[in-house]
Amino acid sequence: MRGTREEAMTCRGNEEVNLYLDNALGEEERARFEAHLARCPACQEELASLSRLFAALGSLETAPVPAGFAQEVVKQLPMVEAQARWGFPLRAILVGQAALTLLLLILSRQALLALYHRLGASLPQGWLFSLFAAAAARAQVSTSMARQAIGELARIGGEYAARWPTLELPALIASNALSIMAALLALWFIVNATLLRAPVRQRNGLNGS
Amino acid sequence: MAQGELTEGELIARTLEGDKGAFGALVQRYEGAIFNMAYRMTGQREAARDLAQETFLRAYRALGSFQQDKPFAPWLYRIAINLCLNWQKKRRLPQVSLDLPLATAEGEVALELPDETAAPEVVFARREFQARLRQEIAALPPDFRAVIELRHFEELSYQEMAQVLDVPLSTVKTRLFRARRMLRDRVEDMLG
Repeated sequence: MRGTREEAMTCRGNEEVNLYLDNALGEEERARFEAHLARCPACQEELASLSRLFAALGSLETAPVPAGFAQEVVKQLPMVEAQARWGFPLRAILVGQAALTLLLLILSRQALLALYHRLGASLPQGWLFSLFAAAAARAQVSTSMARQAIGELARIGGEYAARWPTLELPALIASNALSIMAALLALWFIVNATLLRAPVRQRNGLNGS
Repeated sequence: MAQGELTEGELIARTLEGDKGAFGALVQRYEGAIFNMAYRMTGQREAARDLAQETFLRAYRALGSFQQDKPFAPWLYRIAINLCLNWQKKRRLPQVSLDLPLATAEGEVALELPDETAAPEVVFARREFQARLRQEIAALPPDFRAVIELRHFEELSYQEMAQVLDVPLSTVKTRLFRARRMLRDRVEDMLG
């Protein structure tokens, strides 16, 4: 009995019980452990207590998956593809587009106002009109795109972003490039309008009043 | 649906060819396992849904690098368990209090499936038991929780666990041994 008590002391928390329960012992080790188990109350108690824990863990019920989970994942796949292809999130591009559009809108407006007030009379009407029309059309397109982009951002996980196929990204980037060109053009006119103000007035015979 | 009859390998191959529906079928096969894994790891249903979703999106992105001669489940579990462990690190919430707000406790309890055949007090006792066990698992240190999760719920072998967690086999054994002892000590009063 003394032998058993000594074993009981050394066996407290025996790691081998874990391996035994996990079927991770070799055949020989298993037989040796079973022989030991038969005469070791500490290991018997450890085995019984761990078995109760295993049973408790086994009884833990599974929770139901949120409804429509798989569909939600599938809906986000185009976005994942776009991110993987372009290396940055589509949403960032859309925000950039919206910001750029706003800038373009302000610059175009300023450019048009400057031209009307300062150079309008001296420029050929047809050419000026086509420039205005182009800038206004671009601003209009940009505004609607910006509205869409902002609408998309407001809708978390919305359908709109998911429907943006990856092929439209190059188109988006190209349109951004156009916006930049238009904005630069507008800037160029503002600068010219300011610089040419005096000579034009002189040429047209206008006085300063 | 025809995709329900396809093998896992076929679904993966179809996904790689651009068939998103095939990936959807793959998600449906594993959503229960992954969602519940995240739920047990976090103890929070909302976080579990987000983590499960992120797991599948990452898997989709990385599917091209998946070696198709190997089993899919451990690969997916690896993504999920690492996301759960990282979530833990970001949130810095190593402990879950036993005095959780009542609303949360009720939410948890409501998730358990009612057993119509049992007497009300038995149902109540079982729900209490389940909720408490969930809390105790979620309150374990993350590394311990991960081995409990992988061994007891995903039923991975020691070798597979070592691969998923990227640690030596001896570490897996030690962690599992300690995790069980810690959990057992904490729930001993309920085990009878």
